[in-house]
Amino acid sequence: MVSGVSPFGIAAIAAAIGLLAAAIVATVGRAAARPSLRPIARGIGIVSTLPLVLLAARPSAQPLVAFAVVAALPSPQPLALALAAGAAVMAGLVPPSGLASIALVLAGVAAAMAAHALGRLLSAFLAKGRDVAWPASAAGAAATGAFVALDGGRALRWGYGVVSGPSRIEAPDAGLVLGVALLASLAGTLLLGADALAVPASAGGPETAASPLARMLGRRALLLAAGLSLIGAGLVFRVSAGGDLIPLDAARDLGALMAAAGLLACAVPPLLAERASGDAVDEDQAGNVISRLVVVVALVAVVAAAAEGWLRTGTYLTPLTARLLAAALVAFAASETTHLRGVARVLALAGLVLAILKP
Amino acid sequence: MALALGLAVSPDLPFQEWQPTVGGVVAGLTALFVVALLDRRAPRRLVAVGAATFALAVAYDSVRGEEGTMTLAQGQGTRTFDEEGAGGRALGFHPLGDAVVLEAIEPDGTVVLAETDAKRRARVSPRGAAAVAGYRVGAPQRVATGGARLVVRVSGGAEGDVTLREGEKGRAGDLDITLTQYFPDFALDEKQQPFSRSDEPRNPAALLGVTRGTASWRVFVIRAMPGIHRPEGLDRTLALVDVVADEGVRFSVHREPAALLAGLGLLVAAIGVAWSRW
Repeated sequence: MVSGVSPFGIAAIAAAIGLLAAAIVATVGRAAARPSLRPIARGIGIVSTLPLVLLAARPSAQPLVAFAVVAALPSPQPLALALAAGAAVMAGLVPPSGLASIALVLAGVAAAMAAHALGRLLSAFLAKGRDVAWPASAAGAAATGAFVALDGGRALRWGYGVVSGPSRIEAPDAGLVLGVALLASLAGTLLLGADALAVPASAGGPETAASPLARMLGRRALLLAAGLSLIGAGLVFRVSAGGDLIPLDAARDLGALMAAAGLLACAVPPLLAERASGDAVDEDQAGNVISRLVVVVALVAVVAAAAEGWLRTGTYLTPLTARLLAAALVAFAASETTHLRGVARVLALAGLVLAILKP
Repeated sequence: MALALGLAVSPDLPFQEWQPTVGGVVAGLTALFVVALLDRRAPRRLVAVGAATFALAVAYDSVRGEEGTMTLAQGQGTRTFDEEGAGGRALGFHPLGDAVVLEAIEPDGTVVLAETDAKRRARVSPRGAAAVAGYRVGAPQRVATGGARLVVRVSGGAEGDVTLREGEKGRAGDLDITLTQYFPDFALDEKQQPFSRSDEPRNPAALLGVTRGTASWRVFVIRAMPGIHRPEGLDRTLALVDVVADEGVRFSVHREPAALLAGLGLLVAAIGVAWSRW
């Protein structure tokens, strides 16, 4: 066994792989209009979260475990499951320290529900027969952003390193793989985005493409980026697991790589679908209800953060309270607006994830 | 409106650093947000009432609340704390409701504070703040206070050690030594004047007043270079051999009279959202 990884860490990695598999099965089920795959994806997701229950006693892992469990339980939503894979990796690898926080656990629950709400919006978008290149391009853009953010943007210079105590361990092999993954992801994003722009709005649909070659290259670039992301995660894991504990930054990077791999892998099957599937109205309504729930849970998380701040440090106006309040307001906007619903749901999810990850 | 408000209040976006008037923008957006919601159905009005209550509570605490820090060494007492305004701006000393003495520091970091007039004790730890002298006191952190006991060694004749604090006088061998000035983290500025970069004893140095009979000298000692300064006529070597830094505990001090109202406002808003048509 690698010295820096506990059995809990191994269990969390297994859970993450299971959640990733569940995300792919769920997205294939949707794209191929095969409802029989939904219960399979749901079963894989639920079974995958079982090892995470062992981590529930660790205060630093609790919000991430809450995220993964709530993302996997209600229904097999590819976006939520892909992000849950990242959360599962982080839950097993973050240093087991810190104080337990009900506010952060609630934020984890709200973030998972926000991922479900965003996933429902995407499903409704696809069920309406809109161009699938748009969500695929957006997934590629999100993954590209994640690659750029790794280790302070060093992937842009073909480098990666882990700060372990006073020293920094360089991993040029990981840097090379992550650099290529970034390029592949960026290429896929731009090709699919450009192709989607070139398609007239009236001619949208899974089968329409301005340039079949661009669409094929974009799809393959995203698939390549997904594979390289997983290989990069393996290399990052190898270099960061040398010490007693995996550094927090490396654990975050591993979570981001796993989530990026999931997003990219889930972006490809809809591009291969021959026709739109699903009920747009149902997805829309379910998304609205979940959106409203996100606001309620986020507001309760704000109350919990304020109470914790007052009890622990003497003030309710802590950075966590402000972060959660900002996320709750954005989530409220996402549940009310009709024009910028997608943007608001993305921002609400980002705000809640930030509240969990920021120290 | 809620989207703009959410982005404006986020501590992770640098709007407040770019533009100091963003506080006014937040207040304006909040007012518009509340008015827009009041116009609608009952659940929305409940959200509006909750949001308005929370916003007013935060505004009241910003104006009438007090916050700052208090640093105490073991056994030390105080009746004031260092008040801070918006953005951490120092506002000077602010009186506490009672005299507060740091009685003990426990191994797990818990600190026992005593209110002398009220004759009551409170325990403050990193996990829990406590009500002390009319304020919420919490987040104890060990810090160097800048003070220290310096051990000065005299050699090259009548030898001896003396331990001094700043301003104190002692005798070592046949010399009377006064610790005139202490620099915990000695450095020279552009005009070659000595100053201390921090309160941490990273590069301790001191200026000593030395007398023997009717003769007197000013001697500079620095731990990193023992015996570097030998004034003319002084046939002894003085060296700063040890520094025992004074450690204190810094606490955060808050008074937020509208805290309960803020929590109530948030709960009312949450109930309003939950009550809305699904």
